[in-house]
Amino acid sequence: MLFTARLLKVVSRLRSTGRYRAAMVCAALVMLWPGPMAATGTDNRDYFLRTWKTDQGLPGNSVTAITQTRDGYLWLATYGGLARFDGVRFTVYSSANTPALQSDRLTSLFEDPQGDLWIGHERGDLTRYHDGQFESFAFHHPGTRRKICAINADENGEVWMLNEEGSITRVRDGASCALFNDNGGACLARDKTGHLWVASGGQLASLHIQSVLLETNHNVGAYVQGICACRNGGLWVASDNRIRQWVAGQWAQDLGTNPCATLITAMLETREGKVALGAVESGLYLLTPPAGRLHFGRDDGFPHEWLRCLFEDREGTLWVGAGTGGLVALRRANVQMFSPPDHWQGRVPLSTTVGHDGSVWVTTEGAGVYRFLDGAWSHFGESTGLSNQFDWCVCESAPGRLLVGSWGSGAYVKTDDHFEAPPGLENVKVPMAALLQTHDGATWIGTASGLIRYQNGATQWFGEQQGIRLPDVRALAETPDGALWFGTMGGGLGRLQNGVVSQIGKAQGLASDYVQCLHPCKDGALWIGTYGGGISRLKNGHFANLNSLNGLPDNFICSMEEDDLGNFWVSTPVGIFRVAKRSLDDFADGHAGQIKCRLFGKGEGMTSVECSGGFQPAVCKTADGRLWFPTSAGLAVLNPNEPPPPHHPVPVIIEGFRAGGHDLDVNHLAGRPLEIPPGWGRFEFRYTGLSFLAPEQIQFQYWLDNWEKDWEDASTRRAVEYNYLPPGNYRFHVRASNNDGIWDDNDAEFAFTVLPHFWQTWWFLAGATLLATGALASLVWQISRRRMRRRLEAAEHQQAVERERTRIAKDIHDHLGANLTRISLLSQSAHGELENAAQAAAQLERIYETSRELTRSMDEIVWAVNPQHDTLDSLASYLGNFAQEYLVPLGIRCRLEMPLHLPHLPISAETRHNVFLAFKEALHNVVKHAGASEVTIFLDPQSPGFTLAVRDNGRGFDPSSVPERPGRGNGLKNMRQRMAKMGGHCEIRSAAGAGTEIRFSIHASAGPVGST
Amino acid sequence: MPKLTNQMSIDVAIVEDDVPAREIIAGWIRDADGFKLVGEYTDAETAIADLPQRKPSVVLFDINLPGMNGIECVRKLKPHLPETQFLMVTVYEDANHIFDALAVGASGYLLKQTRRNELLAALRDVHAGGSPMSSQIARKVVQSFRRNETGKTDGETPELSPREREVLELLARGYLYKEIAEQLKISVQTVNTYIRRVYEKLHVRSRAQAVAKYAHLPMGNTH
Repeated sequence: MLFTARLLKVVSRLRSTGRYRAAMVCAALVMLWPGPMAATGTDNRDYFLRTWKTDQGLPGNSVTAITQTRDGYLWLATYGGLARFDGVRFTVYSSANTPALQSDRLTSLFEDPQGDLWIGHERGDLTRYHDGQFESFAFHHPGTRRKICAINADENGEVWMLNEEGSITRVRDGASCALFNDNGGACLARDKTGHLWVASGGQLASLHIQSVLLETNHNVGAYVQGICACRNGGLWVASDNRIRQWVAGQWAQDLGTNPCATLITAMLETREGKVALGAVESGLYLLTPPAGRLHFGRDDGFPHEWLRCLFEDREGTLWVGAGTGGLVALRRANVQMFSPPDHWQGRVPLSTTVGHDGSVWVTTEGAGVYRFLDGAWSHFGESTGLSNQFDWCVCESAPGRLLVGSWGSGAYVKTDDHFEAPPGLENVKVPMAALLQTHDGATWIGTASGLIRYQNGATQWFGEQQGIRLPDVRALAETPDGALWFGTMGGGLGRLQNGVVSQIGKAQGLASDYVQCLHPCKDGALWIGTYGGGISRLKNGHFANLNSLNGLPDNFICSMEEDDLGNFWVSTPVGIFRVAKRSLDDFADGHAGQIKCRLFGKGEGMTSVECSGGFQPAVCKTADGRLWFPTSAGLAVLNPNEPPPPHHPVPVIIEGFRAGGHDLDVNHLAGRPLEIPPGWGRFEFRYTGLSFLAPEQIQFQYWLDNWEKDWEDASTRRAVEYNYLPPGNYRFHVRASNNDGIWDDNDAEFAFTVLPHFWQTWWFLAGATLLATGALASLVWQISRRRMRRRLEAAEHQQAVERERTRIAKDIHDHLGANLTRISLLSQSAHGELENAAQAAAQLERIYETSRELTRSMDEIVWAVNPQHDTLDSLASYLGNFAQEYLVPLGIRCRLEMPLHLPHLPISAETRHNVFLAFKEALHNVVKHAGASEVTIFLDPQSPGFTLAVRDNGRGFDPSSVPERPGRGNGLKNMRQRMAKMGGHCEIRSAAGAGTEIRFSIHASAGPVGST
Repeated sequence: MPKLTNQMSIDVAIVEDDVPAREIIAGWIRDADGFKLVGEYTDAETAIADLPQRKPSVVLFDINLPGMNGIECVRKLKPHLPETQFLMVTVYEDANHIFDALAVGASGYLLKQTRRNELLAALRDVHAGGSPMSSQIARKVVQSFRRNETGKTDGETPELSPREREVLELLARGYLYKEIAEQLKISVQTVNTYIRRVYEKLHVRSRAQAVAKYAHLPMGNTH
C-alpha cells in the first residue's frame, strides 16, 4: 500500500527532526497569502482539466478541429493526420495508412445530417468518411488552394465549406461565392433555423443558398471579430469590443466587454448557456450571462494559450485544441481541490479540523500546519515554534486553543500565532495520531502507546499497564452513554468506560483488527472503518460487516462523515464515496443484497484519489455543510447539498473481432451472423465504451451467449479472448458502466456462427442416414454394426483406462517400492556402521540420493497423470527442464531449440508418458555412449503433431551395425516400440564421428485408441 | 532497511506446515553461522500477522500450505516487506506454481529435499542479490510478457527491455548464467542484475493485474 510506503518515508525523515527540537523560537512568523477579493459564484476550482499530447498517442500536438460523431467517438483533426478517440485509445488515419486522405495537415471536421464525416485540409482538399470508407474530393478553383477553416450544412442539409479567405463552396456542385478578407480570419455559424452565416474581414454576411450569394449586414458593429450560433436564436457576435446576442437584426443580450483584443479563433455556446471563446494568445474565457466571467490560462494547466478550436461533447466536456500543446478537456468539477500557493511544500496533508472562527486547519507530513480562512492561506512552520513539521492530528480544545499532535515531538498548543508544548505534556514525546475533545471538557490523545486523557494540565495514561493490547491508537470517538471508544492498529476496537478498559477484535466479529476511523451515530450505532476489512457496524452488541464484495468501492477506510441528507461520505485510497445511511443499515440488518455507492474520483475533479487515513480527524465539516478531506494532492472539498452529476449512459461499440488469426469485419453483416470456417481457434473481441468523464474507469461486462450463462466481469479491459469454441451459434454481448457504477441496458452485440467440419454438419449426417435407410437389409446391418462398434469402443476405452491404471501401478511399484525398500535397507546398514563414521556417512548419503531419486520419480508420475499438463507447451517445458537437470551436472551443455510460443495442441497423458520415456532413453544413450559435450533438443510443431529431436556432437555410430550391439540395440528398439504405440515413428541419423540425431515424429491426434 | 544490531547475520523465518520438516530446517539455520532464525510458522495466517514485525531478510516459504496457500500469502506480505526475499520451498517442481510465486514477489525456489549446505548457500546467495532462474521459468516469463502485449494497453505495466528479453531467451534455450555472460560479453553479476530486474517487472505487473483482479474481493479471501 502506498500508505505504508509513506509511513516509512516519514520514519526516515524523522530521524533528523529531533535535532530541531531545541528549535530557536524567534519572532512568530506566519506565512500569509491573501485570498481572492470577491469570491462570488463559481471560480476556476469548479473546473478541472486534463491534457493529451503525442506521448499519449495523439498524432500531432496541433489540434485544429474536434467533433463527435453520433456513435460517440471523438474525432480530432491535427497537423499529423486524423484521430478517432475513445477516451483511452487514439486510432490514427494518415495519408500513409489511408490513401484517400490527400494530406496529413487537416484543418476542419464536420458530421453531416446523414452521418458522414467531412474532413477539410490545409491545402483546400476535402475528404469524406462514409460507412467506414474514406473518399477524396477536390475543388481547386484557380489560385484558391486555401485552408478550409469550417464545414457546415445549410437548412436543406447540403454541405458547404468555407476557406480562410472567405470563399464558401457548396460541395455537391462546387457553386461558390465569397466575402474576401486578407487576414485569414473567416468563420462560419449555423443558426437555430439552419441558416448559414459567414464572418470575414470584419463583416457579417448571410448566405442565400438559391442564388449562392453572401448578403452583408451593416448594423452589427464596425468590425466583427467572431461569431457563433446562439441556442435560443440568432448569433453571438463579438464586435465593437463587446460580446452580444444578435437576433433578427436587433441586439438582445450583452455579456460585456470582449476579453480578446484580436480576432477570435474559436467561440461557441455551451449546453449550459455559457459562451466559451478565445484567441491566439488569450487562453480560454467562459462567460456566463449576465456578467460571470472565468479565465483559464497557463496557471490553470493550459499547455498553450492559443485556442485553435473548441468543441463541447454530449456529456458537457469542453474540448480545446491548444496551440502546439495538444488536446485539452475542461470539465465541471464536483470535487474542488484546495491547496496553498506553496502546494504543501510537496508534502501530504494528513488531518483537518474546523476552528471556532470557520477557519480550516490542516496538518501535514513534514510541512507543518496550514490555515485557510476567508479565502486566504497561512502557514505555520518552524519559525512559529512548531519545531516538528510532521504533524499528525489536530483539534481545537477551546475557542482559539488549537492542539496539534506530532510524530516524535509530542503535542503543541497555539496561543496567538505561536506554538509551544502544552503544560503537563512537555515530556510526552510518543507519536500522536488522533485527537478528540469530549463533552466533559477533556482532550483525548491517541498515541502509539496508548491513550492520554488531558485536562487542565493533568494527564492520565491508559496503556498496556491498564490492559490495552497493542495500544497503537488511531481513532477516537465518544458515545452518548459517556463511553470513549478507540480504534487501534492491530488491537481492534476498545472501549473505556468508568475507568474500565475492554477490547474486542476480529475474533468477536469485527471486520479487522486494524481500525482507522470511528463514527458514532445518533441511533446508538458505532461505525468502524478498518484498514483492509471494510466497514463494521456495532449495534446492540453485534457486529455487521460490509466490504467490497457487498458493493463498497474499497476496503481501506480513511474517514467517515455524515451529511444532513442521510448520507455517509467515506474517504478511501481510491476516492471518496457517498452511500445512503439507510442502504448501509439495510444491508447490516440483513435486508439488502448489494450496497449502492457513488464514487467520486478523477472524473469528478480529484487531482489524486488517494485520501489520507490513520490520523484523526481525516475529514471535517464546515458550517456551510461542505466536507473537507485531506488527500495526497491537497484538500478535496465536496458539497453534499449540490446535486450529483447526471448519469450518462456509455455507448458501447464492438470495434474488432479476430478469429484464427484473421481480422473480421463486424460492422457490415446486414443482420446476418458472421460465419467462421471450421477449425479456427482463438477468438478475440475488442470493444470500447464512449464516455469521456473518466474513460480509464469505465467498467465492462461481456457475455457470450450459448457459451456463458451470465455476464462476466471484464473490469476495465477493452478486449476479451476465447481459445476454443465448439461449432454452434453465438451472440457476443458487451456493456459498460460509467464512474457512477450504473449499468445500462445499452449493450452492443453481434452474432456469429462457428461452422462445423463437414462430418459434423446435419446435412452430412442426414445424407448418411438416408443412404442407410435406402435398403432395409443395410439398415439392420448398420444398426447391428453400430451397436457392435459402440461396444468395441467402450471396451477399448475401458482397456485404455486399465492400461493407464496398470502403468501407474507398475510405476509406483517399480520406482517407489524399489526405492523405499532401498532406503529401509540402507538405514539398517547405516545403523550397523555407526562406529565407523565414514561408512555411516556414505550410507546416509546413499539414503539421501535414493530418497531424492524417489521424489523425482514421484514428480514424473504426478506430472504424467495430471491432466493440467496435457499441452504441448507443458511437455516442452518439462522435457527441457529434465534434460538440463540431467545433463548439466554431467558437464554436458544443453541447448533447447523450442519455439517460445507453441500452438495449443492437446497431448494425452499416455502420449506424454511415452514421449517422455523415449526422450529419457535417448538422453541415456547420449550419456552412456556418445561422449558428447553438447546436446541440442529440437521441438518443432507440425500439424497435426510435432517433431522432437535430440542431437549430440558425440562420436556417432553406423546405424546399420546396431543390431549386433546388444546394449544399445535394446534402447533403440524400445524407443521405436514406444513411438509405434502412438502411431508415431522414430528415426536415427548418425555416422561415425558425426554425432547422432534421434528424431521422434508424433501425431498428436493419433494417440492410442480411446485415450483421453 | 539496515539493521543496527548483528549486521553480519541473515535473519531468516520459515513458514512450513509439516512440523518435522520445519524443525529440521529450522535446526540447520539455528546452528549455522551467520544466520539467525527470527520466526517459525505453521500457517499463512499467523505468518501474515507476525512477519511484518520481524522483518526478516529471507523467508523460506512452503508453497502448499493449508488454508491460504503460500503464493497468496507472499502476494499479501510482499508490499509490507519490500526488503525481504521470499524463497519458496516445494516438494515437486511444478513450474506453474513456481512461476505464480515468482510473479507475486518471491525471489526464487528450493526443492524440499535440498542438501543442508545447498540450502544455506541458497539463502546466502539470495540475500547477497543473486537471482536464480531456471530455463523452464524463463520460458514462462517470456510467454507471460508476450501474452500481455496484446491484452493490455494502459502503458503502466512495465515491458521487458531488449537486453532483458535477450538474457531471458538465452536462459530459456538452456544457457547457464556463465554461458550467457560469455555470449553477451557481460559479467555473471550483470546477468543476475538483469534477472532481478525481470523479477521486479514481473512482480509489478502481476501486482497491477492483481489489483484489477482482486479489487472487488475482501481481504483474506483467496480465489
